[in-house]
Amino acid sequence: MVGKRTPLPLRVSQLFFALAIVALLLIVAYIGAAVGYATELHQSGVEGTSAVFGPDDRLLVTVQVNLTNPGPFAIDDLSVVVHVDHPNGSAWVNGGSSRQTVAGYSTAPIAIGFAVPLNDLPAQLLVQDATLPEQTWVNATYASLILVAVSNTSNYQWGAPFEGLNLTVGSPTVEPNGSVSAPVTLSFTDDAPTGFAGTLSAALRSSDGSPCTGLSFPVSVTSHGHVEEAETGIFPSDCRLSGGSYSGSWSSPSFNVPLPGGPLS
Amino acid sequence: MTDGTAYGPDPVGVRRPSLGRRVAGGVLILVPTLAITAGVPAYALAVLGSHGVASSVSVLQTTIGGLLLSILSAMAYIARPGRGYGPAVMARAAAAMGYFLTLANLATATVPIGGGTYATVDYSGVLRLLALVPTLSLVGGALVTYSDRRNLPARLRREFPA
Repeated sequence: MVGKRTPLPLRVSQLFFALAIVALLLIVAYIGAAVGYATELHQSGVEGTSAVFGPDDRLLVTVQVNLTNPGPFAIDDLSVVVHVDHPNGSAWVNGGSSRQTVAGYSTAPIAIGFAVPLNDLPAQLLVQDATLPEQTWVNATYASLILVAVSNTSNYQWGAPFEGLNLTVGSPTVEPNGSVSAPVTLSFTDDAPTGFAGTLSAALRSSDGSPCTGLSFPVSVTSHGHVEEAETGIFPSDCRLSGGSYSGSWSSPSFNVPLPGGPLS
Repeated sequence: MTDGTAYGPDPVGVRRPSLGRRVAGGVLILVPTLAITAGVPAYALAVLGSHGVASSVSVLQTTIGGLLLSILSAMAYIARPGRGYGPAVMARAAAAMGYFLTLANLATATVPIGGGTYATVDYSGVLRLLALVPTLSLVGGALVTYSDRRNLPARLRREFPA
């Protein structure tokens, strides 16, 4: 007698074979869609840069970019790591973003923060803008399956807070008491991403290196603002400022740093 | 035409194809299977390579894997009218699982984006997910093996009716 009914194990096996085909089709469709949408991901340019002074003489810089995810697949565990090197090539500033998720069909701001240790800043970077080597790494999980690590080598444009610092001594005038007075003009541009206020102290020396006088300039400047302030200096009559030099320091509630000196103009 | 010498007499209501026809069918299956499992990956790797994408998976590896899977698919087809079909399906599924999981350990590609930017893509999760497909087939093959040991004619009547 031949039974017509298909045995249960055989029917279940057919179910598994069918499931395998359905799974294959679904996986291929999922991956195809994920790859298709991945090509449409785009990151905006820098949307904004802000900075505040933090503890320990650190400048906390935050750069914001927007990431647009046009597809339905979430971007999970997105994190950014940034290294900026010293001009001499050694590591200087480390920063990055917190881990975050960019949901499907959304645009998310990515805040990349790093702390610039102003007291560990090479002296010339306080008074001179610079192009510094920068490495950026972006790690993320896309569509729950694909791990992506993007590395980028580029340049970071450092804006010096005392760009072009200069002291200029004007024409001296002999005072009745025999001393000499002259206007001393402080000038620089704040190219840092934030303004600051405080006091710039300068010690002026004669051409032979002997101290002549000290001056204090109260300064309040906005980001990218230019400072040009004059104070009157009183010098001993034997102080020859022509060919002289100055050294300076900055003190404020925000940060305190010695400034590189230079020749008097 | 039947092949009574290979499997003995056909059960009632069953007409198995001859060995020659099965081999011919196996060869016909081998060609498209080989194109899909070996040709498509090789072509994809070549296209990616021409765009500067460096993959840890080589054409040789995908070709060997694809060839193996294609041969096992052809063998499963040839063995279909007998008790060897279930084990052949299981062997193909196990090979496919091993293939995907082995490739998963190598599944990284470096994509140049331009301007000094590179993306390293780890798609091992995709291959591990793809390994689910042969896992399901493996279970199906095991059930066929079990069923055939108990009642082979029941399957043959469905698949090779007289």
